[in-house]
Amino acid sequence: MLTGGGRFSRRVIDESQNSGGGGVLSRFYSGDRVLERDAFMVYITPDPRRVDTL
Amino acid sequence: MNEPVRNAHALLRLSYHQFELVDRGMDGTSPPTLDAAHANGLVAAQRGAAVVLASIHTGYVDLSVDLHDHAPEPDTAPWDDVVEISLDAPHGEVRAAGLMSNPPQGLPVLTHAGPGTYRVRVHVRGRDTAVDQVATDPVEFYRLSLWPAPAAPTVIHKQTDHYGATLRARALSHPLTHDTPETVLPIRSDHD
Repeated sequence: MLTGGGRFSRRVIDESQNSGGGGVLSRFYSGDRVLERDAFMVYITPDPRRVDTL
Repeated sequence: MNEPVRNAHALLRLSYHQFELVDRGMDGTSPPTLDAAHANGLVAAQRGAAVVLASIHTGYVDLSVDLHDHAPEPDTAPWDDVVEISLDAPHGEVRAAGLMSNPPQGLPVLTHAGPGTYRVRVHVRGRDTAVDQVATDPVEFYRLSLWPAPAAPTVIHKQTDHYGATLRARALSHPLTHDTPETVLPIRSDHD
């Protein structure tokens, strides 16, 4: 895991997780008709099952 | 009687280790089936969409399709892995395409007999050549055979490549679907 001074962490994901993420992204683009150069916002919602570990 | 009613061939651009066979209007609506595909290492489907797994992350694969009226005899010798599934195509307009890509030119609608349920026999070779790489020239070769047929269980004709074995092992130890609280990894703080 790579860490820094801020309140964040980042982790390497494996190939299957990368594929799953690609599928989710593709379905979002298709389902919401997101086209090349369209702007969109990403809101991060904490999973309530994980909040107590923050 | 088993001669294909149509053959076609194209280079298909894919990304994220997969391409899809998607019916008209069914993209963007289908739940993930990656766990099911990982379980046999090659292909899985839900209503209106199937996913086929590639070993390259991004690039081009060689894809040929043959469309039949009746089930062709299995021809597994030239291939590493061969898996056959059922695919329900309610609109009868299934096309092959990579994620976030248009269907390649030169490939017809795969569900040539119109709406209904089809068998899809997926053949592949070359998946141990460039695992997780970018392939601008194809190193993986796929063949899709389709014919109309009632829904039936998945049939594994052949499983020999190392890449598929890796996916099957990972599907058992690390499924992507983590729905139960005890399988959720805690978010780590920055000093972990």
